[in-house]
Amino acid sequence: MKLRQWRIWHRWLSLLFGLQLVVWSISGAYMVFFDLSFIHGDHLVKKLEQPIADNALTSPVSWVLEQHPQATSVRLMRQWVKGSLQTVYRVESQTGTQLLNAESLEPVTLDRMDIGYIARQHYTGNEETKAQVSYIEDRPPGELNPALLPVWRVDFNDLAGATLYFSATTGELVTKRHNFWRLFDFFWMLHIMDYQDRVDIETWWLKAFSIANILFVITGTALLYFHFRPRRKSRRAA
Amino acid sequence: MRYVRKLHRWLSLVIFIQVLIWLVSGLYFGWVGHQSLVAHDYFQSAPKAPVGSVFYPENALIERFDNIKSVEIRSISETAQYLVLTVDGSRHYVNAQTGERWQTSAPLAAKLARQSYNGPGSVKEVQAVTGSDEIIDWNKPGYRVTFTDDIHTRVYVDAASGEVVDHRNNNWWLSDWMFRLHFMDYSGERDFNSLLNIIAATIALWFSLSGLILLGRSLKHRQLF
Repeated sequence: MKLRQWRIWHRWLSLLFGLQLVVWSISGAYMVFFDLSFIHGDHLVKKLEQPIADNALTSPVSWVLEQHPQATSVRLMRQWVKGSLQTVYRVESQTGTQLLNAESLEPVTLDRMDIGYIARQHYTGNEETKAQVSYIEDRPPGELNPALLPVWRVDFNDLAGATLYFSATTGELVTKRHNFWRLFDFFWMLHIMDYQDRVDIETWWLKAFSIANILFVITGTALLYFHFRPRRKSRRAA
Repeated sequence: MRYVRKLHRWLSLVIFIQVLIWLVSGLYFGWVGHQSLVAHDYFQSAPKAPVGSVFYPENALIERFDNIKSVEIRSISETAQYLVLTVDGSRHYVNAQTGERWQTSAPLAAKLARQSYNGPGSVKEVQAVTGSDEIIDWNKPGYRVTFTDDIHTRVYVDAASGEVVDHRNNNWWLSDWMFRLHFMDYSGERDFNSLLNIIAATIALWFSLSGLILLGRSLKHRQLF
């Protein structure tokens, strides 16, 4: 092919497929520029250090197992209940997860006030920031894994648009989101070209556009060769 | 406009090989799919069993370890196991029958590996290992359980915890290299926020945007034929 033909091919491929290359470079650059731990929102919450006291009053774990023989996991841990840090058992079985008071083994349920208090303990932003607590049982927002339901959603009215999600049964922090994460997720969608669920990397158009753009870059490389190729007439020695 | 074309040409000289690498590795990712990329062709998460009987009491653990964050009891292949998490982030595994430090024997490792495997093969070999070249963040004692299947699945089991670390197979090294090339992190850490990648992404961004401007000009001057 001659230079002119390569150039026309290069223009046509750029029009048909090259625009996706622009999308890939913008979305890729965003994902590369921002540190992944920042995107994950690790800076939004603090690590809570709340060791169990040596003299904590607890019923033995064997009693819990007698009461809940189907439990697949029982965990002694700390949680804020009614504004005070209490020792609790977290009991997990095939049917779900619940909290028990570690001493009385009575079930503990967490309400809106409890979650608001727990969220304040985690949040690293300004204490004055207003927050809104809402319960989500079904129809989760797109940014939340449905397997985590039911949850409490705590939206902080800050610049980052921080949202913390807590398990409705245990009050444990399950997910954190903020606007940089949301933009990252949007760019991820554009990057993998799954505009539905943002998870499928095997769509046929992703493959088609990859192949077409490989051809596109090859035409560009040919143009590069034409421009920089060694000329037949070498420069005369002075 | 001459400058845009010049910029596009010179940037292309610097970046075209990496752009091709990104495209080919991206195509590979789409081709093999997520499951195979992480060597989970024959992986299944083992079903969780009820804890079972416990002889060693948890309050003995609370005296034994300082600054405990949580004490969990669970079942590892029909034996109850305590997992003690301390505030400094360390993890201690204790056999809840005996109160001794948890130990994983080779037959138990094979059994745990089988529970995480849903392929057509059977266990061919169990080797004691300390870490593996194939698993970047794991360098502790454990076992490599090899299966007799078409892709030579290897299941790594951590001895101290009895946990399945991960699966590997013969296709995995290629996937791993594709990730290294795509993320420009040749260490295998899969950190795509490296300085090299940031520089390359910046060049690629200018490269594609200058191309977009040139395309706009071609359209304006009807230079498509």
